[in-house]
Amino acid sequence: MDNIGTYLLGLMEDPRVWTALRAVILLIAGFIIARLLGRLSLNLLEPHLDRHRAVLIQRLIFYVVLALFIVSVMHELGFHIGVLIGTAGILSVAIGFASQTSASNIISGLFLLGERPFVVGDIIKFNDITGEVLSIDLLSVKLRTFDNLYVRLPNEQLIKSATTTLTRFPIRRYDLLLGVAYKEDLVQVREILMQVAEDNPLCLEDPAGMFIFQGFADSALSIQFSVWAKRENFLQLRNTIAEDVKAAFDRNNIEIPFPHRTLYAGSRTEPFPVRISKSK
Amino acid sequence: MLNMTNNKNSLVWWGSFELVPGSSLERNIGPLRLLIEREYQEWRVSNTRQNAQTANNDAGQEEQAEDTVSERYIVQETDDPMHLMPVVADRSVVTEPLTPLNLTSGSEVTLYVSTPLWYRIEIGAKPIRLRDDYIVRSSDTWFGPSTREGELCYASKTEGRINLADVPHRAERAVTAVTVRNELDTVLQLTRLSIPAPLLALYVDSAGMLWTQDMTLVNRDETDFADLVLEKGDPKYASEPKLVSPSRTQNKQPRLIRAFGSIFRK
Repeated sequence: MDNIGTYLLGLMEDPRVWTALRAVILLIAGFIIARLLGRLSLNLLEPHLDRHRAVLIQRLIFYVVLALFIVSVMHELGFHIGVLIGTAGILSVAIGFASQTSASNIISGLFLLGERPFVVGDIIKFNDITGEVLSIDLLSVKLRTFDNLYVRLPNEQLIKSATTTLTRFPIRRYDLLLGVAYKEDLVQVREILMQVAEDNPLCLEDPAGMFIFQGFADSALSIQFSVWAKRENFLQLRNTIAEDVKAAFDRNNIEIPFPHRTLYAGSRTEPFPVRISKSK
Repeated sequence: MLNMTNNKNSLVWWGSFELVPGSSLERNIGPLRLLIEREYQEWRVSNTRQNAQTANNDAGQEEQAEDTVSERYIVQETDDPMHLMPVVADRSVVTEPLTPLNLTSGSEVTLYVSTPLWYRIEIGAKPIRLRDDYIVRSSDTWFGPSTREGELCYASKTEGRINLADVPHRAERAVTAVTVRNELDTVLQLTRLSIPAPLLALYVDSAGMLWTQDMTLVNRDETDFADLVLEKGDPKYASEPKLVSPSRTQNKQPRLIRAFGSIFRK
């Protein structure tokens, strides 16, 4: 007991212990103050800026204040600032080379925030990945796909390639591709399709449905029927239009043919003989 | 069980009703058959509409299939009166003349245009709203300068009648007398007219036909915009009009509305 008491007294008389204690206290205080200032800035800015930018500035303030406190702690512990800065300079060049991609991602992220091709909540399509934007972070954009998977898209790639924002405009067009048999009357097919569009309440009357003849294809007359709907109703329209078109075609005996192959053996092809045999 | 059904010839399908538990009210409003049943602490509302499909009935003949959708509403009080009333549509109605109409310079015309109606069921004095639903589902359409901006509306076609005697009485639609004045030197072609239905109140005339207040649109420039004036007071051309239900939203100041749609001209 006595030995521990003497040891502690001895410690307290050592100036280095006090310096170390001061450094620790400064560090803790710095951390708390940085947190508080960050929180304060977030509360002040949140009503005026969108969530993203406010959080970014909060983090920036936190790290800057913390860095200042760390520098003063270093000073307290006796490190020379000049030497530190020189070392930092060399380090940053080395780190810069190593972190090219990260730096590129950060800068791309800032450009994405500034340009706003999409915001949190939008649904975007990148290559073959479609999903809802959960957050636009410093290095990447996080998506939730429709089958509930988490996708991380690096900002650099988003800036470099084409990204489609599906939720930007209020209405959307659906192109129904179909083929009808060669024996069908195109005028009648057009009328039937237009009537289907008119009867479907989700299908906008204006812009009106478009009937586009694509060409004389191998097995059928290729047609594109384009209809518009409110973006939120797009999926429902897609399904109901397909059902309605099929039902209307069935009612009017319009054939959607299977692929055809015609066997032709020359200019005078005899009919192929067919013999019906009975089983014994 | 007390059943109250309206005569198919009567156009007045709305009103306030005292229904005791176990009784019901049935109304035929155009193509909609509405059944409102009263039970203890519960109201049940059933809509029956014809759907697009046909089915074979027992005699082997094709008849229109019907869809019935029911909903139940739980309430606290059992003896409140039930109010059934017509209301205007919840979106603007874009109406297209079946025959294109051209208005020469300096001329003015009053068209009788009809818009689809909704029905509303409310309970008691407070009142508690049970239901606000369309009578006939109209087709969606877009009204705006481009596919990027505009608003979603309902689509309708109009005969563009200028003679009141030709206007048919329909239980599920209300008539608006729209006066269009062309103050330009050029001919105004009315390809598309937008009626701001939520701003209109409903009136009934002595024959049981539903009207909204009159509207005046003045075309002053080459754009799609027109000065909209909602006439204060009762519709001029209706005989002995009485207010049936108020507008959904209030028009706070005189406004410029996009009344003529010229961009999607065929």
